[in-house]
Amino acid sequence: MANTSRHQISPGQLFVFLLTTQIGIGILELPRLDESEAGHSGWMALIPIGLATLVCAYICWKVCRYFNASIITINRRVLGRFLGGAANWLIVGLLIASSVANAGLFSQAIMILFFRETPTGALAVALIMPSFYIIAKGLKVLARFDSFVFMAIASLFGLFIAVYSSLNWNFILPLLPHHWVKAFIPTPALIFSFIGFNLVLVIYPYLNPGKKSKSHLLYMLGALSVTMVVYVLFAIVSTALFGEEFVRRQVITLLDFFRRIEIPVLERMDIFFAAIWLPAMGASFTSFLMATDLALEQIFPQTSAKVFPVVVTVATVIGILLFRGLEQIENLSTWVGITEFFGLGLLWPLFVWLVGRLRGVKT
Amino acid sequence: MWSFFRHKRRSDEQRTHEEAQNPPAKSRDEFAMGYSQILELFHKQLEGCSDLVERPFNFRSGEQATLFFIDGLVNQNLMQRDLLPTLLASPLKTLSDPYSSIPISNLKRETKIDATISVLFSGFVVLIVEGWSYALAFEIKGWEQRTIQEPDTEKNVRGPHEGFIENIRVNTAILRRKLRTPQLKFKELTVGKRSPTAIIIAYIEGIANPELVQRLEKRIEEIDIDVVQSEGYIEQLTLENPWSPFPQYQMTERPEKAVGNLLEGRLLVLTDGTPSVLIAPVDFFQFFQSMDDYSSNWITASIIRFSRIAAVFLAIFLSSFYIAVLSFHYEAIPLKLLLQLAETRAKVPFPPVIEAFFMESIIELIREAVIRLPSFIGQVIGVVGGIVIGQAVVSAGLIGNVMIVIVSLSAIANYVIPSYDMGLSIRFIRFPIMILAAIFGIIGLLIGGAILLTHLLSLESLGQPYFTPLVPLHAKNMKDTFIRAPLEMQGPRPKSNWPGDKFRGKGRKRG
Repeated sequence: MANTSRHQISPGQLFVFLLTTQIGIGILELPRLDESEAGHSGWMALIPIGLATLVCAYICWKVCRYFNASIITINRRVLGRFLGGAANWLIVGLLIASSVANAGLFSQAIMILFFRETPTGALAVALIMPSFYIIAKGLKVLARFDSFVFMAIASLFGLFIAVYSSLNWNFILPLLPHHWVKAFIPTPALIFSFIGFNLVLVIYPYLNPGKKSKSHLLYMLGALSVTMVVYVLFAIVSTALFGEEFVRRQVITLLDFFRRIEIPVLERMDIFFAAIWLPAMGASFTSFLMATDLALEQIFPQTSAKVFPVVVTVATVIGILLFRGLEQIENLSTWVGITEFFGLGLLWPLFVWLVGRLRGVKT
Repeated sequence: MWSFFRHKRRSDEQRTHEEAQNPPAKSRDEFAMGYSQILELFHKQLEGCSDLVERPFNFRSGEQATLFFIDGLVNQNLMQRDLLPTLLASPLKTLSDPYSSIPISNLKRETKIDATISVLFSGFVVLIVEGWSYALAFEIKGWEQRTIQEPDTEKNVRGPHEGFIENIRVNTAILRRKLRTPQLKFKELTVGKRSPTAIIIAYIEGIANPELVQRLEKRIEEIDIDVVQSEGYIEQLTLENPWSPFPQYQMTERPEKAVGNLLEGRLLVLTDGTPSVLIAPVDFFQFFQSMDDYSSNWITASIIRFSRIAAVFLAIFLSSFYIAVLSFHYEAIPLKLLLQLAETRAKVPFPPVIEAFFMESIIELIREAVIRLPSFIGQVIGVVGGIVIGQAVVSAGLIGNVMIVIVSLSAIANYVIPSYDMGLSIRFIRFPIMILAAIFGIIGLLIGGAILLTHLLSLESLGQPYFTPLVPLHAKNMKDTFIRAPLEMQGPRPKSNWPGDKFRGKGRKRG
């Protein structure tokens, strides 16, 4: 394998990496997808799925710890060269699909926000330029870049305070409606907002080794918990601000949030808030591109690492061009969300662990 | 402590003395070829050097001898007063122990021809004597040099007003005078195949990390070049990322700034023949610090520091932001302002990006012309450029008034940056961002900003992260970045330099 020092990250960097990966794009359509089934109590659905994320992430971590390797190496070791190789290619395909879904949603958001007339291809190429540069530089630089997600989250809490006087708490009452069971069941589309925790399966070899292994787990679970709390708060405040019906009709609730802010002289601040959130969103889909790049680096350890960022970037741009329009991208993201969450994030790690134990594969 | 110095000096003298008495067997051969052959070799090697002075003479005991020195590098008064009378009056055998018989503080016994010629060009007077298997070199340096004065590029309001000069030994003496501690070390290296130049790595033992010293030393030793003309050569040949427009070492001509950095665990690189000293490793925020920040009240210093950082944002993004907003996002502009902008823009036939490029180019040309020209002509150019062209382009309808304000503001913001190198980098970074803003509006600006930020996050200076202490976050060192916190709070030395002694003091003793 090539020099991996540019990919080595600390527990703190793992924290911001996972936080950005989930929140960046996940928050885009969250309240709308959340409200669509369960109504004004939809925010409750975020809690069970958030807790399930913690359990799945713990399983992923334990499996990697058991074999002390990434899922790419585990597959080869447990399933053999051919079956393991095939599984690895499926994982790469899934990661590319995730990159396309995330980047596609991002570019659709940009189109809705700013450029309704601009061709998708031109926009996709422009938006992916920084991502290409980041993945060429390595995971460490991405994790450093991700630190700016705190600014985005801080701006969100600033918005909460700014709109506090406009909140109508009656919109979220009664807390438990007559169909209260539904309130705790997430919609399939909602699951997409929680994927990203499973990337730890791929980036595991790049976590700084040594006595910090427990810290990595704690930081990882911490990041996922923070995501859940931010999502829940955002869903509650959105419902209390706009009401159930309006939230259902919104495309990007976050944008309408920004538009509610009016200040003297400058009059509106939506463009500035968008400017704060866009880098976090960009970093979010870059995480999937980076994971794909790292997976390829592990599959082809002898090949120059400079090739993979180009491959991953081109594949993602082609994918964005294939899935045109918000509806197609949303369908893809729903499918990707379920497959990533339950397939790669839960069932596959359990399967390889079981097979590995049965075949007596050791670390 | 003084006994340590005395002992060290004595042992050094002893060693030199012993080496002089017993030169290595291999090198003894070079001067053993015979007096006339050595002179012939000297003449051959120094042919065409019209500044070489050759002074043959005979000792009282009859042996032939020749003195060589370079005119202009030697203090001839001292030579005529102290060296020549002693040599002409003494029999040769008294020179068997030159350390006792010649009143010159530093002399060397050279056994190699190349080394002898090298010291000759360093201001030594070389003595070759018939029958000797070595040459004696007397240090009687004396050449014209600049007096110590305040550097033009780094002005201070408060604090000392002295600067480094071209003589490396004067510079080490200035540092030694400011840091009177034996822990201040000067590690001397030589770089340059054609003309060896003395390079000194200065650091404080116990504070600077030895690994960083070794790393820098190794990089300097790896330099393979004819001649080092300035510290910029050392900088460019030891960089981690030569493709970056950002300076990865800091340059200073101010001794107190150099000392401040030594105390933060950084290293200095002094180059003979240049008044600038390199500081390594550095971080991005260091380039916006000025020595005045530490001499004045912390509140005012913090406001000024913060305004400098804000100026960087203005210098990079203001023109691009104007282009983006005017081209794509005019809904973000307040209505009254929008009407005024529309009025001024109505007379201009070009899109904002062309306007901005035109104006920025004029500013860059004026700036370059003013730097290269003598100051009295430079002022005229400034007036012509600033007033005449500024007024004329608006009257001609080529540029709007607002664009002149924007471009001027961004140029002034650029001048606020205390580091010339950083200012230069930022000057040119804004052009690609302006193009992106013209194509994709605010998104283009963000794309440019993201690429710029990624680049800064990926940079390292001597292996240390460039964007620290912000990313990676070192909270304790944040007190000297966006603001300049009180000196009492500046106890911890910058963590990114891996200092040996991590704490510099509480500022004042309490209770």
